[in-house]
Amino acid sequence: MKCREAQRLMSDDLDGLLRASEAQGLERHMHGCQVCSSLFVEMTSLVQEARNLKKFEPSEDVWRSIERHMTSKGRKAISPPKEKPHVLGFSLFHKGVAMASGAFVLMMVVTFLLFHGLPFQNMESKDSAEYALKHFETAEKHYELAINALVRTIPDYQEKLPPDLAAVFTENLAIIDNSIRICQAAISAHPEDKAANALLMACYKKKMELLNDIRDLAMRAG
Amino acid sequence: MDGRSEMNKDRAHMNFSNKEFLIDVVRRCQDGDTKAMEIVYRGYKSSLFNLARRFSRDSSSAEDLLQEIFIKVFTKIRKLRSPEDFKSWMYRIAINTCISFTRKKGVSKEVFLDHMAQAYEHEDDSLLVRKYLERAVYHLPPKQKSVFLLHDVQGFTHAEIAGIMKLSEGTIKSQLFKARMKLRKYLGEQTS
Repeated sequence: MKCREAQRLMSDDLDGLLRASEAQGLERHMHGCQVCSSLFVEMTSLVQEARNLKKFEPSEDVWRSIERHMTSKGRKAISPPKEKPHVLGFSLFHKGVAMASGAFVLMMVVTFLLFHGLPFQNMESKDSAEYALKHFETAEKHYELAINALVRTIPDYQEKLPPDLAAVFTENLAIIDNSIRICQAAISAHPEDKAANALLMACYKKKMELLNDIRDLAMRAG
Repeated sequence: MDGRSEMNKDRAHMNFSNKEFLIDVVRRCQDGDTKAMEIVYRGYKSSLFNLARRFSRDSSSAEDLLQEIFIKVFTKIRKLRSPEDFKSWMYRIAINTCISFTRKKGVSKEVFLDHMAQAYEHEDDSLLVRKYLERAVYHLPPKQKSVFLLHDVQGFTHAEIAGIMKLSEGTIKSQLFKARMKLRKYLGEQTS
């Protein structure tokens, strides 16, 4: 065994980590090597002294400072970290922005389709068209009732949202309302226009979703 | 039960090697219970203060460091997912805070004399070697110092230190060997 290896084993030997064969090899080496045997004595003494180093105690002031910090200034830190409200992995603000984009796209689609018509337009019989229109009327009434109920509570909910987010929602609502007006105008001119009716339903649905999102986010934020 | 008697009850059962007790106290800390924080503080203050003191320039800095460690621990404790890992997690924060402190403030030979030498000035001459050892430890590189203090001064096992420092046991053994060799060399120079 060379001195370098013996010195590495010494450290492990002090910690009681050597196998019997390694310990015997080390002992044999030290028996014939004055340098390593003195080193072993010095290291043993060092480890013993380390265990006996002075023990210090902090003053009582330290806990008082920590306690003061944690109960006053630190309260914020130990309270549950204020989680940014998330919806489907989007932050509130991103959700708002995404919805604004959605509402904008919806309005563009509404405008485009009202001017160019749907592919399936005029492909159905008169009876089925009448049947569909009747259903649109019923659905519209239901949507209006639900939306009116939601709209009454929205100002309270919007107050609980951060101002920038509330502004995004207001803008989205305005875009959807504008789409609804376009559809209603188209239906008023051509009541049998199934495409316009279908788009109006889509707008109502979008508005319902948006109002429900405002309510949900406000409840989480508040 | 008033706060003090509740604290006494906690103290009576204060035994951090009892897993259930530890988990209960950690969870209470996570809920922001300052009494539980005090239990943790009183349970570990001496050990962490002795660690901090050997990284800092003076007693006052060591107390600041101790305060910083515990504030970090209590502030971040909500993020600790496994309360049973609390001890190694806390010592990791302590070691990182101490190393960061050393990097910011640096190490000064002169300051050491005011700091540790004072602690030993009324000691018997036979204890001079401990004074030299303190001085040598103070000047070890941070990682070696951490391993040496945790193992040889505080009695942690290699595996525990590996868990605290997120290093392999082999690296811990190697760092400990290097630290011991440096200390022995320094002590040899001082005493010869």
